[in-house]
Amino acid sequence: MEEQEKTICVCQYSKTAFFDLLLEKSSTTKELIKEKTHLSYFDAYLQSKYLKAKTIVAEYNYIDRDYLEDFSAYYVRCFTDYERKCIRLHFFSNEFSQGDFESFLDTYNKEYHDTLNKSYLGFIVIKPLPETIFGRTCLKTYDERNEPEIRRIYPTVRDYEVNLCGITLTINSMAFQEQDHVVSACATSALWSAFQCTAKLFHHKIVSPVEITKSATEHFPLSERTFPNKGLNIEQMMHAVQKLEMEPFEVDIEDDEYNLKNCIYSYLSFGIPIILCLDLYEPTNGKYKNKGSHAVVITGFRLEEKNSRKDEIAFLPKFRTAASKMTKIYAHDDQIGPFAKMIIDVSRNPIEDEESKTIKTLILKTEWDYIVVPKIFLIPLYHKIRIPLDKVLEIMRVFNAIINNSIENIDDLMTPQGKYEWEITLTSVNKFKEEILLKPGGNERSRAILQKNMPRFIWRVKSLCQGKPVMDILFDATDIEQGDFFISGVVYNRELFSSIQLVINSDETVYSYLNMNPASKSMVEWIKKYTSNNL
Amino acid sequence: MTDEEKRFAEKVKTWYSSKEGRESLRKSVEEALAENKKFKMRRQIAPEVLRKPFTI
Repeated sequence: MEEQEKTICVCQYSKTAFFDLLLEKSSTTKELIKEKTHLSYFDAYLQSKYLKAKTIVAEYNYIDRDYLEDFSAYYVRCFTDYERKCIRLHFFSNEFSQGDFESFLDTYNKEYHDTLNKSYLGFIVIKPLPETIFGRTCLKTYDERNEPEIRRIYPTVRDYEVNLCGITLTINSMAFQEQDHVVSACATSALWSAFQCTAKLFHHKIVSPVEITKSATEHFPLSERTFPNKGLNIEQMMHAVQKLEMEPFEVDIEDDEYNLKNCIYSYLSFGIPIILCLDLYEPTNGKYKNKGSHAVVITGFRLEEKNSRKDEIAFLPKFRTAASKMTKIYAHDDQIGPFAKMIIDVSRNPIEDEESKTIKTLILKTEWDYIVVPKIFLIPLYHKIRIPLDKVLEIMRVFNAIINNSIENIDDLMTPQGKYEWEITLTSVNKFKEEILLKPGGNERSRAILQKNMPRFIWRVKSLCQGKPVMDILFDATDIEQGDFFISGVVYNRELFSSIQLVINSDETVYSYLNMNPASKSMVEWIKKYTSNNL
Repeated sequence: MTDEEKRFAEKVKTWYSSKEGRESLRKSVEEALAENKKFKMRRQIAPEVLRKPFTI
């Protein structure tokens, strides 16, 4: 009988077991693996109260498409024989043995299949390389447990279907991988993760790290050699984005907490990942020294209802957007791992210049000793998304000033008991209409919205008063800035909307302030004329 | 329009017809326009920043 190759190994989860499996496949030393930040990060992540990993299933001789592309483009041409097959480690939160797993393969049981799927925490591909071993990784995100004041939002995750010995498993995640310093540096890894999401959202092909590096550098032949790749610059990253028929939207966010939070909230909520280009500072002899420039991809954020930061009032004096509740961001940092936490901090800054003066105000604290100074956002947008966020913010800020002026000064039962908060997000017509369709209590008004022709991408401005939705204002994100890009609106709270309408209708001066551009004018006209009989 | 709405509309109209109301509104709008300038997104990236490699 032919001797069977080792294909599956089931073991109980522990840091040692995880470490041994890493050591088994990679051609590296114990010392090198121990030094890797990833090992501690993955272990802490998998053992956290949110995941509680209990079992590892190692799938040997796994062929990973991304690694295979890199292998065929580079590693196969090396004199040293690098392997082309990887190990894929699967993690589960329930306990089972090799025997249990094999019995299940012998006698399929739907109930056990469902149990396995429910306890599935994701996978990590281990590449057979000397140092940079963490390949495609999809791990479950932290969920919410008894934390009503805290909302962790990961809009970039999607379902990945995984097949293990014929068993279909599903994991809701966003793919991550470590740079290999050969076909990819940090920027390529960040772009690779970002393109995993945009491919699904904007229907472009999924590209491997080697393809990204090639497309980014094809018009910069004299700057650096392409492989081994030592890093990309922003121009090259932008070029890689354009090669996939998207347009890069870049914003300088250094010391700009306001636009940092609003951009993340508005673009990421639609599932568009944001590449964060940053400077990394390392503690050395009691001071923070600039270690260099790094790129990560923002994959989620955390909102806290009771954001007790002292500088809140100074930061947002009047115009309160939902983004102001943001306290942390989560990023795929190829130096650390997926969904790595970064705390937004402007209150205390340890970075000093040579004269010991504080030089930066906005920093992001990482889970490690390093701190981050955010520099540039690079947002890969579908080419038809043309109206930038700031155009919408400009209109709504003036509108908010007028509405809140009436709240502050007019004492009446109809005056809302709290100020307005604005949720500004990019969305698609399909996503928006689906939400309207699924909302209970539909009527002829919601039917008319569902039947209305709308552009593919929409800026949706939801106004909330004491947490209650009052209305949605919709702008065409595909129009031109000088055009009338207001589409329509949806009223959720007739009483509060009526108070807005009465303020707008009260006086010509109020109206004249809002007549700032065609879109603002159309929005006001719509509010003025809105009755229960029209739209 | 309900009686409640009529009463509110009257109050709003009275407030914005008064000198104090107009002044307060002008100030609020000016503050908002100033914030529009203050928080304008910086979209122009210096060429040296665009060409700086991200290597870590």
